[in-house]
Amino acid sequence: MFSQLFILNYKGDTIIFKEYRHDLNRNTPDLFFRHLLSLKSDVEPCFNLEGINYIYIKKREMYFVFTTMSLVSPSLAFELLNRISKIIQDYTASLTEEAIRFNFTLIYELLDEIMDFGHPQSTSTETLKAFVFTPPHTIQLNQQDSIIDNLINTATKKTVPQKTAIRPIHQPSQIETQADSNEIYVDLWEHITILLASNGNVIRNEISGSIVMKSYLKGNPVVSMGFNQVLKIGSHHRAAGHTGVIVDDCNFHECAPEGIKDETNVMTFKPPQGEFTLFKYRISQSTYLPFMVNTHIETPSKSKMDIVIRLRSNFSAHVHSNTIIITIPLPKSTLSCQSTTTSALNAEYKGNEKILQWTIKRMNGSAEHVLRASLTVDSSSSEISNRKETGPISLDFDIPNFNCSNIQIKAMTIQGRVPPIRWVRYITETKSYVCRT
Amino acid sequence: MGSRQQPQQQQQQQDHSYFSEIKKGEVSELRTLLKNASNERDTEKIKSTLQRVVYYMTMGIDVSPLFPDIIMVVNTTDVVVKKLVYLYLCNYAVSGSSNDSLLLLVINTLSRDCLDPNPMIRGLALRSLCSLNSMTTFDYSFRGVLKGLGDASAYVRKTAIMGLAKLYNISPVDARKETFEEHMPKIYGMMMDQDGQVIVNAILTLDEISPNWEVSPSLVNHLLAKYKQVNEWGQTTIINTLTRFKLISEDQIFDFLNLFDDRLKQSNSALVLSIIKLFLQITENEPNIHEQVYERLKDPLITLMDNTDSNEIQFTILSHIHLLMSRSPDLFKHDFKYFYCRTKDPFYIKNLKIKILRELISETNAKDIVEELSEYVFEGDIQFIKQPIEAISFIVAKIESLSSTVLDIYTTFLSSNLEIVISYTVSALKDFLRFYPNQADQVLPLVVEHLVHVNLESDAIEALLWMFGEFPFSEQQIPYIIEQFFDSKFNDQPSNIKIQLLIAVIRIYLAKKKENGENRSGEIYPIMMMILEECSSINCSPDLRDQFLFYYRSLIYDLEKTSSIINTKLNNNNNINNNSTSTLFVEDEILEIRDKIFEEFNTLSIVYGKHSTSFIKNPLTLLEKQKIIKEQLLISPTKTGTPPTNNNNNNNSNNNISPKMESQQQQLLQLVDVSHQLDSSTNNLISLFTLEKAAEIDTGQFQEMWMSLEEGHAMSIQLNQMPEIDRIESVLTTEGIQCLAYGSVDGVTKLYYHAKQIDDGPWFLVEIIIDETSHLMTLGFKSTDIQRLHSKFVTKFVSTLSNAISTN
Repeated sequence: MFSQLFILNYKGDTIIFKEYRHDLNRNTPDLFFRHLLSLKSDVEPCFNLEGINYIYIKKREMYFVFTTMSLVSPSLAFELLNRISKIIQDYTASLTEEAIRFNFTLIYELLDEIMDFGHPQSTSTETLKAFVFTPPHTIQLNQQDSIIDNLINTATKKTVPQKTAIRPIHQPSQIETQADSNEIYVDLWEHITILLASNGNVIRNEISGSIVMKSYLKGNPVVSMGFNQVLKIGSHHRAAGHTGVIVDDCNFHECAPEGIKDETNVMTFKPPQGEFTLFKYRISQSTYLPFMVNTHIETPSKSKMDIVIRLRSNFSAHVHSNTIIITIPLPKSTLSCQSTTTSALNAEYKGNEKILQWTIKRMNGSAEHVLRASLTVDSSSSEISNRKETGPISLDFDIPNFNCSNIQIKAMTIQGRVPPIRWVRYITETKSYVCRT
Repeated sequence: MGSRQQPQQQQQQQDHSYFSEIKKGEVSELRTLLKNASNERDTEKIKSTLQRVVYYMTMGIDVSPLFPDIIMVVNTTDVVVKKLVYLYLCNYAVSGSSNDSLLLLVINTLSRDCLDPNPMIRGLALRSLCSLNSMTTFDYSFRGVLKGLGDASAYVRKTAIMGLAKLYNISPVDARKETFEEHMPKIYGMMMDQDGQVIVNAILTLDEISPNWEVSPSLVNHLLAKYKQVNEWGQTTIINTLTRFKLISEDQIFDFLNLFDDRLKQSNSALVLSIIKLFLQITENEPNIHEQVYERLKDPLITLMDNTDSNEIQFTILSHIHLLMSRSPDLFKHDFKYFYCRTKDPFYIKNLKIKILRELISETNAKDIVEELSEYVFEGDIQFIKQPIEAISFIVAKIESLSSTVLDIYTTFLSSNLEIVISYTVSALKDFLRFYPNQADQVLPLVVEHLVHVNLESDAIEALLWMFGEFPFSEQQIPYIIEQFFDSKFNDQPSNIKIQLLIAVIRIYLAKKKENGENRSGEIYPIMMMILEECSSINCSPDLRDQFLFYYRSLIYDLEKTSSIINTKLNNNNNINNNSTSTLFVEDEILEIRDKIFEEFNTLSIVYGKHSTSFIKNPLTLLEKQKIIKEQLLISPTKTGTPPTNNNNNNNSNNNISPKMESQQQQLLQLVDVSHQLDSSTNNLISLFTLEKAAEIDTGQFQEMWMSLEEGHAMSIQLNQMPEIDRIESVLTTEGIQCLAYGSVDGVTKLYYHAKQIDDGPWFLVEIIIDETSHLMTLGFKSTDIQRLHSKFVTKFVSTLSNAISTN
C-alpha cells in the first residue's frame, strides 16, 4: 500500500509530508520533482523510478503524490488523492497553497485518520469531524481569489458569481451554533462536447452532466429529489422511440445506492456533509446547439485571405452567457492580421502563436456577432495548406442558469423540522466546442 | 539502486547541514521557547512552538536535535499537543539512531494513554505507539496491541489490528513466525467482528502477514452480509478478497453477479474496476456469461472515463479499456466517438486514445476514424502529429477499401508547408507500400514531386531510400535524386542513413523487371561506385563498414545470388517475408503480450503496460511468477540433436547476368585493392560476435533469467507450412544455439533456445511459438545485453533460422 503522501507546490517545495510505512527514503519529493522537470511534455500520472512508484494528481498548481513499492491499484490511488484534496478543501474552505500552509496541523490530523499504515480508513467528512481538534484558519480572501475559490467545481477555472459560503465545513467545539449553517447547495453542471465538421455536420454532440452538492445539513436527513421529466436510462430507449430525456448511462454516489426510481422519477439519498458528486450522466446524441458558428473563408489573392465568422446564440433572450473566448488558429505563413467586429468587441491577434482570439464579455440569447479578419500571408505558401491550417475554431464559454438537456430539479424535500436553505443553480460549460473549417 | 542513491543522500545531508547551520539559531530558539512554555505550563505556547517544529520538519529541515526537548512536553492533556508530539516522534524515531533510547521516556505516557477512558485517545496512542519505527519499544507496542484487540471500542480495535501489521513489518524476519504465529487465530477472529472497518483492517493485516491466506466459504458469507456497512474503500478490499475465493459454486457465481451488478453504477472508479475484475474472474469458465459481463461493463466504463474531471482517472480507465479490447476487440466498436481527442486533453491521454481508436476499426467506422485522425495533424499541437499519421497507416493496412481515401489524405499532408508533417507522411507511405506494393507507381512520383525544398527527418530519409530500393522502376528520377542527395548531403548523414543508401543503390543496381528484363543498372552504376568507395573508407562507422563488406563481397562473389538474396520481392521467393496474406507488421504489438498482464487487472501494470515482474522488486510475487513460467515451459529436452545436415544445393544453375554486368563486376574487383589491407582488421570486427559452442544452462536458471529480463525483441513470421523441428534444432545447434525444451500443447508448438557469447559475454534467450494451424511463428528474444541482442544476435538467429526453414 501507499508508503508516503506528500503535497508539493508548483516550485517543488514540500508543503505536506506524511510518512505511512517508513520503507522509503525521505528524498522522494526531490526525486519526483526532478523527474517532472526532466520531461518537457505532460508526464503520465504514474511512473516508476528505481522500483518506487509515484502516483500523482495535479490540482490548483499543486501535486498530490503517493509513493509505494507495491503493486497497487491506480484507480484507488487516484480516487483517494482526489478525495483527500476534496476533504482538505472542505475543512480549510479553499484549496490553495496558502490555506494548506496555514492549516497544516489540521491537515496532519486529517491525514492521520484518513489512512493508517497506507491503507484508506475513513474519508467521510462527518466521521472525521470527531477526530479533528484544530480550528481551521480561514484566510482573508481578496476579491480575485474568491472568484477562484468559491467555485464548487474545483476542476474548472471559470465561475459563476454566487453566494456559496466560503467557509470550512467544520468548526470544532462550541462555535457551531449559528442558524445559517443548515444549508444545502446544489449545482447541476452540464459539460458539453461538440464537434462540427467543416460542412456543418454534427460529428459529436454530447453532454456530460453532474449534480454536485455541498451539504451543511445538520444531522443526516433523508433528501428526495425529483426531476422535471422522465429520465430513460440506456441508449436502447433511443431506438425504441421514447420521448423525454434519454440518458445513455449514469452513475451515483454511494449515498444513493438505489439510483432513480423508475416509476416516481425520484432519487432518495442521505447526503454526507461537505462536497460530493451525487449523480453523473452522459447523453451522447443531443440535438441542441447553444451557439451556431458560420465561417466563410476567401482568398482574393495569393497573399490575402479573408475570414468571416458569424456567431449566433441559440438560447432564450432571458439567458446570457459569461465570457466567450473564440480561438481561431491561423496559417503558419500569416504575416499580419487585421480584424473588425460588430458592436466594438475585441479580437486580438497573437503573432507568436498565429492565433486570433476573439473575446465576447457577455452575450444575450438570440443575438448575433460577426468577426471579419483579413490576413496577409506569405505569397510563396500554398493555398490549400493555408486553408488547412486555418481553424479549427474552438469556443470556450459558460452559461449560467441554463442547461442543454433541459433536465431540471423539480422538487427537493428534506426531512426535518426546520426547512434548510436550498440553493440550486444550473451551469452549462464547454468541455470542448470545436468547429472545423 | 543503492549505489545511485548514495551521492544523492550525501548531497541531501549536506543540504541539511547547510540548512541547520542557518537554522542553528532557530533550533536553539525553539528549544528555549519549548522550555519556557513547558515551565509556564502554557499549552497555547507549547502548541505554537510545536507547530513551528512540525512546519520545519515538513520542509525537510532536520529538527531531530530537539528530540529530548519534545519528549519533555509529551505529558499533557491537550489533544492537539499530543498529536503534534506523536507526529514528530513517528517521524524521527528510527531504530539505531541516537534518539532511540530516549524513546523509553515516552513509553510511559503512551502506555498510560492506551488506558485512557476516551477511546479516541486510546486509539491515537496505540496507533502512534505502533508507528514508532523502532524495535526498542516493540514489547510495549505488542502488549498494547494485544490488549487493544479486545477493546470495547471499534475504533481502538481497528487501530490495534492494523498495529499488528505494522509490528510484523518492523520485526526481524527470522523472529516473525515465532512472535506472530500464535496470534493468527485472533486475526481470523477479528474478521468476524461486528464492525465493518475492523473486518476490513483484519483482512488488510492478514494480506500483509500471510498474503496467500485461504478465503473460506463461511467468511465469504460473512463479508457479503457486512458489505453494505463498510465504506467504499473497505468495499474494494472485500471485493478483492472475494476475487481470491477459489471454491465458488455455480449458484454463487450468479449470486455475486446479482449482488454487485447495480454497484457497477457507482461513481468510484476504484470500486467499479475491482467489481469488473471479480466478474471477469468468476465467469472465466462460463463463456456465455463471460460475454454478457463484457456487454454489461461497457457503459459504466465509458461513463467513468468520459464524465470525470480528473485526467488521471480518465487515463486509468482508458488503459483498462485498451486492455479489455485485447480480449473483446469488438466491444467498443460502436462507441468510437468517445475516443476522439479533445484539444485540451493532455498528451498521454491523446496518445492512448489513438492507440484505442486504431484498434477499434471496422469496415463501417474506419472512414470516420481516419478522417478524424487526419484533422489532428493540423490542429496545432506539434507534439501530436506523428501519432495520428502512424495510426492512419496502421488502419489502412487492415482496411483495404480505404487505400484511395488514405492516399488522398497523404497527398494533402505532402502538400502542406510543415516539414514535420511531410517527414512523418513519407515514413507512413513506406508502411503503406509494404501493404499495397502495387500502388508504388502512384505513390513515388507523388513523393518525389513534393520533396523539392524539404529537409526530411532522418527516419523519413531512410523510408524514402527503402522505397527507392524496393520499387526501383516506379519513378524515373530515382537515380538522379540519389545522386543529388549523395553529392550535397552524404557526409552529414548518420550511419544508418548511409547504410540504407548503400543498400538502396545495390538493390537498384541488381533489380530487373520480370516481364521485360528492363533494368537500371547502367543509370545507377556510377553513383553506386561512388558510394561503395565512400563506404570502404577506414573512417566509416563499424556498422557501415560491416554492411559494406557484406554487400561488397556478395557482389564480387556472385551477382545472381546476391540479387536473389537482396531483392526477394522481385525474385519472389519469399519464405520468410511477409507474404500478401499477412496483416501484421513485425513491429506491431502482439495482443498476446498485452493479454499476459490481464491477471493484473486494476493494478499499475495496466497503466504501465507491462507485467509487474519488470518493475516491482518483491521476492514474494517472484515465486508466484515462477510457477506460471513453469507451466508455460514444456517438458525438458528429450531429443538429442541429430547430426547437422548440409544444404549445399543450387549451385549457379541458371545464370542470366548480362555480360555487361560481368564486366562491371570485374571493375568492382578492383576496389578490392582498396579494401584488401582492411581485410585483416575487419576480420576481427566480424568475428567479434561468436557464440559458445555448447553453453550450459538448466531449466531453473533459464526460468529465472527469462523472468527477470525485460522483453528485448519480438517478431512474428508467417510460415507457409509447419517447419521440421528436428532440422531447425540441428541447424541452430551448429551455430551454438542450444535447445532447452520443446513440445506441442493445444495446437501450439513451443521451443526454447539459449546461447551465450564467448568470453563471458551476455546470454541470449529465445522463445518460439508456432501456431500449428495458422503457421504463425512468434519469436521472443531476451538478453542480458539488449544492445548486442538487437545488433547481433537477432540477425544471426533469424538468418540461421531462415536457412533451416527454407526446405528446398
